[in-house]
Amino acid sequence: MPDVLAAIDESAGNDILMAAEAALGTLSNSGSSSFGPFTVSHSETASLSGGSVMFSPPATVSIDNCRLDYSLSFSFGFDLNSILPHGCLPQICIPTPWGDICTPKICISWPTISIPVSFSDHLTFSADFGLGTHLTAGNWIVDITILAVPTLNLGASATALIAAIGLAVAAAVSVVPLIGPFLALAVAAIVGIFAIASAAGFLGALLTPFISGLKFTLFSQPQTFPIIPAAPPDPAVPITIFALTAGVETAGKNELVLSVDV
Amino acid sequence: MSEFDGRTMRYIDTFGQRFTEAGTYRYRLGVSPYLRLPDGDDDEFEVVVARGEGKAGSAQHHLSVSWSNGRFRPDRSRVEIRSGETVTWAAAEAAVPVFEVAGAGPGGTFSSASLQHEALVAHVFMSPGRYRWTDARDPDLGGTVKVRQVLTNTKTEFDAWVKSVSSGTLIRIVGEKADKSQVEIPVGHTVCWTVEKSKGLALRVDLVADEATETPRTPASPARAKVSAGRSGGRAQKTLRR
Repeated sequence: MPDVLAAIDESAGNDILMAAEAALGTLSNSGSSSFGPFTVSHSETASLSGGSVMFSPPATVSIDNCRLDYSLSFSFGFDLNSILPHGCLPQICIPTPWGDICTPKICISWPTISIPVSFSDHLTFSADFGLGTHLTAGNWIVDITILAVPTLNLGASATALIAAIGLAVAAAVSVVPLIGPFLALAVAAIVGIFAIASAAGFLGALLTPFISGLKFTLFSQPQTFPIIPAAPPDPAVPITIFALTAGVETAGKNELVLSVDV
Repeated sequence: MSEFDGRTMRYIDTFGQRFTEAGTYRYRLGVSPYLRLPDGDDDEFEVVVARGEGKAGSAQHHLSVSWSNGRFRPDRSRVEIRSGETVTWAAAEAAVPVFEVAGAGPGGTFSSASLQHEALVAHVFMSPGRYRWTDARDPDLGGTVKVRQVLTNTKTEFDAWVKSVSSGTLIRIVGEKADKSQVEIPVGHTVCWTVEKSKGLALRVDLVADEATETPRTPASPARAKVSAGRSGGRAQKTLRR
């Protein structure tokens, strides 16, 4: 029989989840990778909010409709020679006062361009979390850790991302000398390659790290803490928690129950 | 950086000089090619002009300038021509650094940075915008080149653009007068300035308004560059009347 039992219902669980999300704050990540023919350097931030908690015995916490707001900032490099035609401006001959003068043909070498893209959106997801308790640095902690990465519905976001990339490509490519006659081709080709290489997969790769291994701390308590007696002059009494377990129990309704031995 | 400067010619530039006086002309290639230390390199090249018989020639001899081991070199270190013929120089490829052509011989000096009698430069305009060309030594001589963007969405439009860049536009400068004060061309088009009877024209071309301030246009009739002769501000007073 534990010395102390504490139980919270799903309503209280929602309050705790909101506090845990606020404590988690803004998450960030960065790196570089390749994506199809592109080289990509990226940084992204994300924050979590909302969601509703459900408890399931023996130790599962489900969160439905948790919202992930994210901002992506990435730059991808692309060698225009891989899509634009190689060729030369023709040799031209100009009649001058002392005869025709011909210029050499000018062969075009397209540059590798850097395309900066900023994109913000949000998504919602639902996932099951496993309960865990551990004593870390003198504190008893109860947290929940995501059990499996849920399927993220990125279709609409990917479409919006492709549109954003199209604008960024047009802006980045437009400064390339002599690009005008090839501008429409370049934008269509780059955006097409990006779409074929799966923008949704690209988004998923950037966002999954925020969700994979996601952990919320629900409860934290120093292992030893003082209890102040109700009436002086008795001194404060130090209490030490020797064991703490967490589980979901059904007593009319599902509750998260903490069992404490002191 | 200027769009064109005869002291720093690029891959898209051509310099030419017509030689009418017989003799051997020695020239150098580089940035400020005659600023060199006494024990510097000796990379001088030759244009040997033979006295022409009968009517003066009008042939062109083109030299491709390459860059290797820190030195500029024409594809022929010595070129023999007849009096009245023209030698042109241009970078062999885009990787060649900027350079100037400068030399001297029996007929006097010649230089891409100081265009004298029967010299020319040709420049390909690769980006849209409004450009002003000037003589750094004569503020009253100059003109504008409007380079319009060309956006193509069909093969017909693309072919029309290719046709439009298959010819050039000539600006003829005699003394201190130019025959055109304004030209309008599609992107990728070449403008050629020929210089006669000048004491040394330091041609510069600078971008004065970029594409954002211009209205991009598709090539409704791109096969020809638009030119106008006449007054342009206060500078057109020296426009050549032919």
